[in-house]
Amino acid sequence: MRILLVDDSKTMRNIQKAVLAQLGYTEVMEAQDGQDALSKAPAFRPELMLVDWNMPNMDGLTFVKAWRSTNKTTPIIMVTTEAEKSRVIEAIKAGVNNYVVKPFTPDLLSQRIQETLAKTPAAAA
Amino acid sequence: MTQETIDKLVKIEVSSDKLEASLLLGANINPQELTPLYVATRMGELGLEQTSERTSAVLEAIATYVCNEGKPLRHRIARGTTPTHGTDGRLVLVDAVLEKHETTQTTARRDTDTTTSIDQRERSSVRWTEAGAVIARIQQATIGADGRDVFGRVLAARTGRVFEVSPDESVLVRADGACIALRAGVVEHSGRVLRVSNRLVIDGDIDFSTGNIRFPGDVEIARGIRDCFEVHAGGSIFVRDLVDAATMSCAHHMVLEKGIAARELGSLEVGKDLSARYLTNVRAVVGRDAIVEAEVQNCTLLIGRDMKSPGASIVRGDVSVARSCEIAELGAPGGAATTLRLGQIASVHDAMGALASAGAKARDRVDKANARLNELRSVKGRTGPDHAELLTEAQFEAQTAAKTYAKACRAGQMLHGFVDKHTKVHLVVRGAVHPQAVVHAGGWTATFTQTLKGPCVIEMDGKGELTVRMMVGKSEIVPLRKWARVVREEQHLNSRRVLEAMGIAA
Repeated sequence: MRILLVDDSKTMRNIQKAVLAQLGYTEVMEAQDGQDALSKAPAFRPELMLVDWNMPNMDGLTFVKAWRSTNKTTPIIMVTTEAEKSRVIEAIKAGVNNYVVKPFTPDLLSQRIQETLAKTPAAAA
Repeated sequence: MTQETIDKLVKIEVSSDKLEASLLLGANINPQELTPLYVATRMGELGLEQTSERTSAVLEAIATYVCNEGKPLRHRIARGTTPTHGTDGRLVLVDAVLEKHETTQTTARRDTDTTTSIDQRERSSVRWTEAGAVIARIQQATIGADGRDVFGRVLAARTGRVFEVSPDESVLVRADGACIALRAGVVEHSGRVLRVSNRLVIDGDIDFSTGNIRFPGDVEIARGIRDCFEVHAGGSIFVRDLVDAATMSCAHHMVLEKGIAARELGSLEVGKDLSARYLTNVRAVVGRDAIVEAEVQNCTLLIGRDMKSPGASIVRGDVSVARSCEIAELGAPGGAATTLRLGQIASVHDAMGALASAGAKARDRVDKANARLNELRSVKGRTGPDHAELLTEAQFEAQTAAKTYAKACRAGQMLHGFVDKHTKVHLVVRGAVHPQAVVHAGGWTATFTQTLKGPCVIEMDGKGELTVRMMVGKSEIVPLRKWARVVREEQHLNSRRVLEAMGIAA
């Protein structure tokens, strides 16, 4: 399964990659902000995306809205420090499928990834 | 010339096999009367049908006769066809089975570098096949073609006999007649029987005439193995005569009827049991039991289970036995540095060392990760995104470290269980243990200073001390210290100590 990680922190991307590897997913591409992700995603054709909110150049929410304007199906998990309810609702309205608040444990992220994939039949298959 | 006269002078003769008819013409026949029609009439009387070929032959005969001025003539005028009998079906072994099998190493070296000299020992003359290879083809019987005699009667051809191969479970016969080896081994063919034997029998020595042997099944050698040759078998190895400094390995048993004298050059790797009359100057790793009849001299042996050698002496060298060891003598009366390690599996001992180190590191990592996590959690007040990321990182490290430590603990407990089950200190001495012999057992080193006369058993008592139990008389139990200087091995590593180092109970 192809998975795109969008986060400006290399450490966070490494942690996410390690969690994905434990789940058996190794086909991973990294992007350091929304703009970078928009340039890489069409060719990579991700089947899951983990997106940070606060990033330079283009934030995660703007990226999600831009991506959803052309692709309605790719499951997206927002991984962010934005914990307020209003922000969560804003993200979900933009097209996010699941939400993980930092700090998170590897087990929690792993659980959210599995939940999200289970709800997306094409991706789960 | 009267009709009667010409009839006598013109004859048609049919060969006894009826495959040829000849026109025989006597002398001075009137050419006016010798007409093709006359000859055709005579042929018809015999039942020889006219064909254009036969008419041509008759004309040719008459012309020749006339040219020869009426000299007697014999000329073939009709010919039948002999039947072509069918051929019997048969089994044809493919060339690869008949050719010498060379090891892949040799072949590869030839392919890559023709200038490199070839080790003649690697040129094996042994013939065997790989599993899955086509080893033979059945050549189908043919029905043949019928012939006809000069009268047009059919001469029946004999149909070839069908060949039916009788393969055993080692060979598959495909519908197209190809015979496939279902296992690697030596192809055996006799009459209808075709099989692949997983036993290779060498009638003589292993030397330059045979080259090194690498065979997937059992190898039986009628004589010995010469210096620096190698024999590797996927099954067992049986050697009837002496083995020099050879390198040998097998997955199952190794039987050296007369033993090995390896001059510290040879080595043995045995998956299961090793049996030999004697072992001299050899390094051997034995998966299960070692059974030696006479002597183990200056050898390094690692025995995975028992040493069952009640008639054998161990003189010099270093022998490690995982479980029970029964021997006649240890060391020599004149004093010979001989080491016997009881209750040890060398590979497991190495693993214990690695695990103790890895386990301690994992525990240390867990402690550090938890300390860092607690430090970050103790920060008061509102914290920013950077703090959240640091906490995520610390949680990840703490969880990863905990999982690694848990794995190490499980491995430690498994190892402890394995060691507990597969090792013990139990030495039966039928003859004697001589001074300068050293026994390592249960964390003790016992260096013999006096001769201990058997039969007796050296084992651990309930307090973990080395004792001697005499096997005659009152079977009294005496501390080993009576015959040996016994000292605790401070660096001794056992599975219990490994668990202690990792902070868990056995």
